[in-house]
Amino acid sequence: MKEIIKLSFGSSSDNFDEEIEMNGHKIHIRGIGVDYDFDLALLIVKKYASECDAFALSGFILDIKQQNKTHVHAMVKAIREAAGDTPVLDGNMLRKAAFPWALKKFIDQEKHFLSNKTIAFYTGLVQWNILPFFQEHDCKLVFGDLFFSMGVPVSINGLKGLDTFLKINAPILSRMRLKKKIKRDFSAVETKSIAMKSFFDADIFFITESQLKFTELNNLEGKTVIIDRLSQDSEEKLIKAKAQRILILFPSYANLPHLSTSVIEAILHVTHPRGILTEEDILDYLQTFEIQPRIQTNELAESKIDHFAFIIHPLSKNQIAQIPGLSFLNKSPLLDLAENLAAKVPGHHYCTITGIKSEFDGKEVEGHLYMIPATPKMLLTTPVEKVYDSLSNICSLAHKRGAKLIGLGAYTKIVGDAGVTVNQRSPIPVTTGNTLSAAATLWAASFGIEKMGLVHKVDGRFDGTCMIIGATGSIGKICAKVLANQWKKIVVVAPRPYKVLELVSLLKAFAPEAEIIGTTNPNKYSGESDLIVTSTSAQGEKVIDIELIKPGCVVCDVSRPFDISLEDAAKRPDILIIASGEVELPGNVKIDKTIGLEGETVYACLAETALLTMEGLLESFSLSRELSYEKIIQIDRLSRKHGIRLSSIMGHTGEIKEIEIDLCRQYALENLKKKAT
Amino acid sequence: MFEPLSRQNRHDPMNILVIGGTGFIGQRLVRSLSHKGEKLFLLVREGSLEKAKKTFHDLSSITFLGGDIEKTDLLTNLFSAGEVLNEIDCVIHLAAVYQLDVSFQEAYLKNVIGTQNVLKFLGRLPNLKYFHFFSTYAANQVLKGNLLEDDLIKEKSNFFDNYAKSKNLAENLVRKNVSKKYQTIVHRPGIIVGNSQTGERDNDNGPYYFFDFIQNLKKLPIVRDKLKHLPLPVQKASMMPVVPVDTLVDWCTHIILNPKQRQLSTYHLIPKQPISTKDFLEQSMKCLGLPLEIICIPKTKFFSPLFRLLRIPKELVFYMEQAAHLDRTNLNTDYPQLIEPEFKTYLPILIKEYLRTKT
Repeated sequence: MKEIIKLSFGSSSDNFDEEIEMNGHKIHIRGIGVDYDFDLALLIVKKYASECDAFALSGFILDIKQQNKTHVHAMVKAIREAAGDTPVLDGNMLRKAAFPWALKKFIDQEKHFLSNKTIAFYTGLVQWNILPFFQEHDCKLVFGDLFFSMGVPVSINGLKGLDTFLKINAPILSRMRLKKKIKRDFSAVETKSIAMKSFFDADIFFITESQLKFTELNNLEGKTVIIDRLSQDSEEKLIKAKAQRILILFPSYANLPHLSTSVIEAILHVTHPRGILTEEDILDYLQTFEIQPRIQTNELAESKIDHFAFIIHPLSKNQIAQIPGLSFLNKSPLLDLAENLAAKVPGHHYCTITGIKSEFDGKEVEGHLYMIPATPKMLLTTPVEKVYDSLSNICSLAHKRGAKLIGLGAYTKIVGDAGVTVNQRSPIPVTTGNTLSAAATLWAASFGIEKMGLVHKVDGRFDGTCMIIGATGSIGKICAKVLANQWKKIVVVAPRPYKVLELVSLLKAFAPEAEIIGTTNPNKYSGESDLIVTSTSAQGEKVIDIELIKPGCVVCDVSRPFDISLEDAAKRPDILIIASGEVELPGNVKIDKTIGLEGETVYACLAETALLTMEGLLESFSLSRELSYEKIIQIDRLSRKHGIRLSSIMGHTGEIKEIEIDLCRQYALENLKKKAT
Repeated sequence: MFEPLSRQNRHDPMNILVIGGTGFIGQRLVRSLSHKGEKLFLLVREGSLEKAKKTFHDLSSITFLGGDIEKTDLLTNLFSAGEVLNEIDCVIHLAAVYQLDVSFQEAYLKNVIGTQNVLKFLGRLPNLKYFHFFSTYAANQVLKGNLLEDDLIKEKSNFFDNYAKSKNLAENLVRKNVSKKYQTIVHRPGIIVGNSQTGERDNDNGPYYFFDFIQNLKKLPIVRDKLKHLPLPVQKASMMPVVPVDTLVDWCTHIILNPKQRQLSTYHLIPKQPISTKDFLEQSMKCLGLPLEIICIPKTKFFSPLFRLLRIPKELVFYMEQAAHLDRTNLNTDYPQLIEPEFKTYLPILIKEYLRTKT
């Protein structure tokens, strides 16, 4: 039988005896807590060194690393000397490999976990095995060492600050003898110490289980805690502090609660065939036992309602004049100036959407809309880095408000790289919402075609022509792909010829049964098209000659501002012009301010953000200019699941009623008859 | 006076392992159990084996086993431990260091790790039915409130003496390791004093320090000749739950031989009506020829140097301050037949023996 003594600096109320079997060896593990009495610890080591095969340390201050220097704490040094030939394991080798690896595994699943976050370490001086990992990720570090070690309520910012602190204090700290238990009460200084504000404002807190025993925690409401191991006592303590999420790096085995990193190292050491534990052995262990990090959510602290955010902006300078108090700008020469000035105003919380409730499981979500008061013109002409900064700042604000996902509306998703950079800089995942926008377009198109009743299916395909203007854009491309499987003839239109040719080639391979034609001139095929989907960034400039469009055609105008102007639409009562992309959310939805749509209708991109939050799919579902066919299918399925549906069909001036569709159809039939004759 | 207690519904003798059987209470308990016909095994350190055999030479029902509770593996001798282990159905653990002024390190090694080793050892006894652990009434060492027998404070940091602290830690361990395979009975004796019939004792611990204190006071002419009242920092409500060793042994014997069917039982082994500290001191002073009345005053810093001068250990301060009421409901309910001698009847015997050994 191998004997291991786990020597804990803490309370002896945790003393234990356990027998396990590992690698064919029977091992007795004895836990002894010395109640913070170092003389007792030394006595025990001297007395039992000849009776045990290894000591495993817990709760002692271990190595303090400062740049290239390692300070071994005097207490640990004395223990090693007292133990003589009996090895003393401290778990550092295992922690050095296991903790960063566990964190990495977790971040692979939750990519935004550390992005732009502030991580607070209650004490960083012994965390040298994990600090380099945080340094690699774009997060701020703040340390509570001055308070934890010395009771001075000042936080240390960044690794440089920690290094400076260690340079001065490591020699003292490594000789400091803890004679009695000193608990640092962070809650006592939380509201009093301005010098520790950056610490308490952190998003994520890092602590080890040993350190937790010396700590009275501050309020952790809404915060995430990273801890090495989680015992029941520790869990209770963190829940009491209202920690919302707890990331546990190293598993605690329910039937072997005392299996700490130092004990595992000791076990590996005593069962090693050569009796010398190396880093290679640690790697083998980690691979064999597949250590997995675990996230635990505090259901008591967790809000039952999840929050998302969405960024909107005025679609024209005229909308600036609609802001209360600014109506005098309407048609005024000052409007241009106002447009310029408004773009300089930082983004701010605009309104809240409440009452969104899934029809599937009753899950409630709330949305926070943030306004960036820049028109499309200003967004496209402002240096892109400034726009990224503005959007990233809003993401941070939303995160602080508790949003788990943020969507980009209208032109905020068009500027630059269509959300990619903003997503990288955001503490929460970002989505453009384009997938649901594309799906909503297709729903609207399908609805319109059905209601007009002028095109019919033959062999499962609409026996007619479908044209997509702006087909190489993200929404246009995906619409082209879906429609290519539904229509006999597809015409794709875009301004750049090489892009058109590329898309034609792709569609021919994707839908070989359809006739695919590419052009830069929409007017060439508008006279034969039964369905036109237009999704451009023309900013209200004319993209098609309304007079040439075939009577009875259904036009889905996805763009904002519209590609088909009000004037042009009025010229053709025989064309059904649908302003698609608007949907309704499930539940008793209330929006406390106008967002330019009637009733509770919302933009499809906003709906996507809400939908993903309802589903718990908190990821960058739609990003960059590329959309995925599979994701369209998925979002369609999720929409049906949770109850997101096309709202009443909206035209340029409002809802299109059934009677209006009937009238349109009549006009269309008349004009088609005239054309035929 | 009081009647000897006997085992009700007598069954076959138990095979009892006693750990700490050569100590002050242990020796007497061993004899008492032996006289009841129980088969006894005594765990004794190898170096103390000969002395133990001499002490119990007149008892035939004792088997000696070599072992040191400070060692991780308790049984270290050459006896056929295997067969013995199968026979044991009851373990009594009262081995401890119990001086008030013991160092924490020593108290921890013997009382905490010793207990931990015993608990581990219990797992090797396949037929164990009862485990009796001797704690102390001072395991909580609180000054106020009503202390129930089932109460035990965890992670308490402010003890008056290391002995009480170590017993608190040890009892916490025992409670943490309560097993479904055997019953655990925790005995919390009060302040043990000498035999109520003979005054015989092993050392001058605890309340005997007060006798020393009184003797030292008598040497002061102003106290001896002038004073009628003596102001002392004693809480009016403070209690001295003294129990003569023979009474304690009698009670424990009865409990051991008549266990209740419960996974864990805890008993405050104290008098039904403990004497107050004031009365204890006044009656002791009277017996020792210094009939002063005590005036209870609040404790001030002035008394610390005075106590040092009069050689009163600081650990005794607890006795003067502790006013917590020690509940005895479990004991009253489970063993209502236990009786005790009156303090005023055996105090003169204690003091007589004290004076005899001091001269």
